Amino acid sequence: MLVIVVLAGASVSEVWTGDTPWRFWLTALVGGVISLVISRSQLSDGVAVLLALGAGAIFASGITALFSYHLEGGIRDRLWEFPVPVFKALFGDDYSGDVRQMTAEFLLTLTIWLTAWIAMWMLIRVRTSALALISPWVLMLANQFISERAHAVLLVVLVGLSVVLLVLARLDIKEAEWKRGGVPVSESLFSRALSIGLVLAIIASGAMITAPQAWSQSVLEPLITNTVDRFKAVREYAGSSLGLKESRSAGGPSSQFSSFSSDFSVGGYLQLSAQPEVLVQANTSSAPYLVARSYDIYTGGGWSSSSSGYRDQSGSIRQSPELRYSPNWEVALSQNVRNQRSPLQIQVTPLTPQSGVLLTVDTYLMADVPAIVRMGWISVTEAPYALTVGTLNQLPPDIQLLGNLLLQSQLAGEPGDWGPMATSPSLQSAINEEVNDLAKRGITVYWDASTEGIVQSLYVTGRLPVFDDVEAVFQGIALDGGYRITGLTSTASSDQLAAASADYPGWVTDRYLQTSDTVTDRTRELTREIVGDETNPYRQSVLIEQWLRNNIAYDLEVGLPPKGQDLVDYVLFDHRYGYCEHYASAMTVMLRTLGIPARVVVGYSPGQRDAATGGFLYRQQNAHAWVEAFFPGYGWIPFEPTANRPLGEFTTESAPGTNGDTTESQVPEDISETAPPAADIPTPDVFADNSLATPLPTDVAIDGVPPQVVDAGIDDRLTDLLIRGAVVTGGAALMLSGIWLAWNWSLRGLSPAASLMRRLQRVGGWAGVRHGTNATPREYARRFEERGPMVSEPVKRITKAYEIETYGPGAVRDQILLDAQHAWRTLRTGLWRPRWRRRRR
Amino acid sequence: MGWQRTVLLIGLLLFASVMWDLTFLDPLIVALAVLLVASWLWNKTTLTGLGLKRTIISDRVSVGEKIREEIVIANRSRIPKLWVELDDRSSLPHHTASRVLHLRGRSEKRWQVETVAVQRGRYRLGPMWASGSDPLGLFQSLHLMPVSHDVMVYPARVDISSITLPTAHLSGGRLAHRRAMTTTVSAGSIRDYAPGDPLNRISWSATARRGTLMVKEFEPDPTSDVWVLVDLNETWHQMFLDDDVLPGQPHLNSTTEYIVSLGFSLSEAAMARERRVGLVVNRDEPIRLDPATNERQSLRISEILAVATPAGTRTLAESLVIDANRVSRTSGLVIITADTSGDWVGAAAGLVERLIPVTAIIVDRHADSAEIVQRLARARVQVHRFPPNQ
Repeated sequence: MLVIVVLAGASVSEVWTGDTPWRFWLTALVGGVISLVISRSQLSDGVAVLLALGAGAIFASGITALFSYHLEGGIRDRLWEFPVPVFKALFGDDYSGDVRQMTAEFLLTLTIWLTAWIAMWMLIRVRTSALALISPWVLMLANQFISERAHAVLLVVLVGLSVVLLVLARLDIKEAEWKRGGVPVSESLFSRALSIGLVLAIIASGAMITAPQAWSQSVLEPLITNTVDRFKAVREYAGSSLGLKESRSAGGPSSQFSSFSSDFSVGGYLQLSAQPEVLVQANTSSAPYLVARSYDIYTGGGWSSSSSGYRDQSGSIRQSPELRYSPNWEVALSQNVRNQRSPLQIQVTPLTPQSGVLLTVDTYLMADVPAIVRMGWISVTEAPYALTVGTLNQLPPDIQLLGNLLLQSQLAGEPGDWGPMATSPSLQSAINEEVNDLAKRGITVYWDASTEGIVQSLYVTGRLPVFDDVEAVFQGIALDGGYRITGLTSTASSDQLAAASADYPGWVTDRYLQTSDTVTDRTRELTREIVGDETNPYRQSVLIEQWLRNNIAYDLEVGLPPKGQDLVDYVLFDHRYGYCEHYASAMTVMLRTLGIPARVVVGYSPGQRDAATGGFLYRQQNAHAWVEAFFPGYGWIPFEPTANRPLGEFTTESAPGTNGDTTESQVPEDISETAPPAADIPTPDVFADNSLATPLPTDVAIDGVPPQVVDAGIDDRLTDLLIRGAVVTGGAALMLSGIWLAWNWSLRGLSPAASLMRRLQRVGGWAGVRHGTNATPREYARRFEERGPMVSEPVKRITKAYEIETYGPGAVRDQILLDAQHAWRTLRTGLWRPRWRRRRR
Repeated sequence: MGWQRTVLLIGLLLFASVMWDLTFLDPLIVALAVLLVASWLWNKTTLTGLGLKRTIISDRVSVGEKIREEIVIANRSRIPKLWVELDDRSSLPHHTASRVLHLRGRSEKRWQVETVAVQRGRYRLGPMWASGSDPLGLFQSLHLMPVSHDVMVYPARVDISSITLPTAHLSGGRLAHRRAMTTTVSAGSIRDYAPGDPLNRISWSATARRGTLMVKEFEPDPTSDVWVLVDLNETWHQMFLDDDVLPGQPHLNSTTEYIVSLGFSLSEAAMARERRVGLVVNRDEPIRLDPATNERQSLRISEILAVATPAGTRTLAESLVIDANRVSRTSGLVIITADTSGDWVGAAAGLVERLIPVTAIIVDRHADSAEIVQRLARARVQVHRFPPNQ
């Protein structure tokens, strides 16, 4: 028991992040020894309790004062100084800084002491090993619950020790019972019991070690979720049929939540399971947000994407809004977006069939697998781009290569189809090839040159991808395993963001300031009211974020808004409850009303550390929605308006040992690879045939709606069967519970023997053996004799136990009681057999 | 912690794990489930293959003597038993045949039990309940091993040296006309010598007179039959308080035990003197045994008195009137009773007047019988009071 108590203390030491964690297992050890001595002493219970508590308080005070280095003076001075601030912290309002830390240490030490004392007391004085194990186990499990630092090995060891203790304690109790009954024990059983206890401990520990991680979630959660969904569907259907309440949308948002489709509506019950969906390996101390995709169109009740295919000028070919990227090729993000960002590489392993979306972190940069990147596009018609060496990088990436070729060329040749031709045949050949490639992507160009043969302007007609506006990344090929993603996370400070200009690019204002007609005036007024006189976009964003977090309560059960009412209006003014989609929608709309470009992003909130794999586990219930606002010079910056999520999790810290400065430093060693060298011209070679980024033809394009998440659970028929089975089982359980309650109600408070006698009289009454008013128990038992020895013998044994208990000088012996209980089971088993029937006269 | 609580605990942990995502509980749930299954399997085998044999070495004893029994428990299974509790349900007081044993696979253990009989009666040695459980005590098994034997404990022998057996009035001309197996002072007749007759029985005077060898035949001593009347009218019987039980005689803890033991001891004493003994037990259904003096009669009396208990309210006076009709003047009567009412003194006096010698033994722990002792003495009934310190 002492070892178990020390282990429980060690579990606290393990999760303790402060100084001298070893003090906690030391406390457990000292507390255990002193409690052992006190419990085994001849002191009365009251004195022993007071002594143990007093010793604990003194020890906790002493050890806390000893390690409270911020207190002045020696240990004696600290001891004097220690109680006052702790008392104030506990009962007053002085609850800050070191005092808070000191109070926590004191209470934790005292808790461990009490744990040790309760365990020893229960074992030695109460002689109940199972109860003795409760307090160390509670402490151990609480540590597991509180901190991921708690090591599972301690649990395994604790299980083993507990099993051994239970076996030995049971032997001890039985030996005491045998001794009381004067039953000789042929030989010492201790060593045998110890051996068997060790074997059982090994079995139990082995089972713990080999048990699948989170099996309860993967096995039961789908069943439960399905059942609950069904139940809710039935309830909604019933409510709708009876006109009790407005029915919610079929399919519900929960089914959409982690599907990351091209649009979604907000509202309705949300039931997300704990089923693990994604495992992420990242060399960071905390889990990152995983981005699935973003949306730009607010529909008044949900969100959708405006990026869609279009037909080329001939109208014969439909161009898709995605670009296909080869492995490890970066998206050509502009320097405007790359500013104040650091790369973060993660290894993503899907654990359930995924929607086809590649999950990334913050702003997508590249993947180690073929990827299809959906992004925003701009349409231009003979848009002029001045070509100089200094402005080359400011050109749209698609025409940078052509621009570079033209700048290198002496354009003094014959006028061609697109402009003056280069004097160098090789350069002219390259220009022709590039112009043809652009034409394949629906981009037509022409240029003019000065009389010296220097290119002046490039005129572009067609649809150009906006690489800074990545909306989603999809798998380029079907993936069997995981993939590695590199994203750029913002490192911009609040001051930097506050200093950002409000000069937004056209592609940003075109897509991300849209609001629905349903947005109400009172929403706009409220937004203006919230920001007040503040005009800085960043600070306005923060004010709205804070207001939503403080004024809208988090709730998963939010119905749809009444028909015709704007979703944001409903959340802000009528319901004032919501989950992440409501928060994100409200903030995005409110920012847009202020003229701040914003979009809703969906993905996963940070998962939990998975001790077994060393990575982070993302479950379905981590599916999340949040907001990104655009700040020129810094790109998209995430905000977290949802009240139940902590702030500040968008930036992840590198794990100890890395400086976080470079890409390589953040890549785990086992997955680190060198990316291919960037092209001279920052336009990627994204096509398999090494051409530049080109929209895919319609017939091979992804239509923009990735496949839904395939439920790993059970099919509908089985679900129906389960539901019906559950209903029948539930009904039967309810009925049996009623019978059980009716049967046992009048037995409550009776001693075991009296309870058995009462039950015997009941079944005797059914069988026609009346108890009468004057019959003694023995006389009553005799009346059963005519029912034969199979009935009368058990009746006699029950009666005997009752007689001894009622009329005997002491308590009935356990063995006699056990015998009577066995007799009752015998009687009960044969209750419907012929010998119980009434005799016909 | 029984298996029900363990199942409940597993259910609660599972619920917590699923509902609150406490997946760190999952290995613990598995461990508990494995322990539960292992314990169940263990419990299933804990009593399989057990066999019991009981042998009684002495099955008829008197109170104060020892009953010996040998018990053998065998484990015919290959699976060893960590511990098996054998709970003996023998009805014999203080018979402690219960044991806790460890049994290896395919092994047996034997032991002898000696128990001093402290209470008369018919007892059963056995049956025996074997109980076992898994090491954690989650499950329990109980198995009845219905091997049993009956033993008879006769009443205790008490000191009756102060009591004189009554002698009847035998007239001089009345001979018993029965042959004695031994030489007595009464030669009854003579007969022809037969080979094997001892020479000291030859009647030389008759041989001389008849001219052929004649031997004397002897009659038994002129002793009378003894009737022992044990009064078990439950009206007068009571337990002694602890202080009233005589030191060294804890089994004589009631008037009943005293009366029965006196009856048994007197019967044995009379038979030892080759007197024929008859028995009357006064209860609602009285028991009557005509006088006899053989082993069988002795056994019969012992077994009747071993299990006799007070029953009914049939009075001693009624018994004296009805049952004593069988008593002739050649018999003596010993009345053993706790009846201190004196209602029966008249009936006893009537028997005396019929020249039947009557001895009355009154078991009276509290000297309530002083008056009837005087009345009985006046009626020429020989009176003894027990316990002897009275």
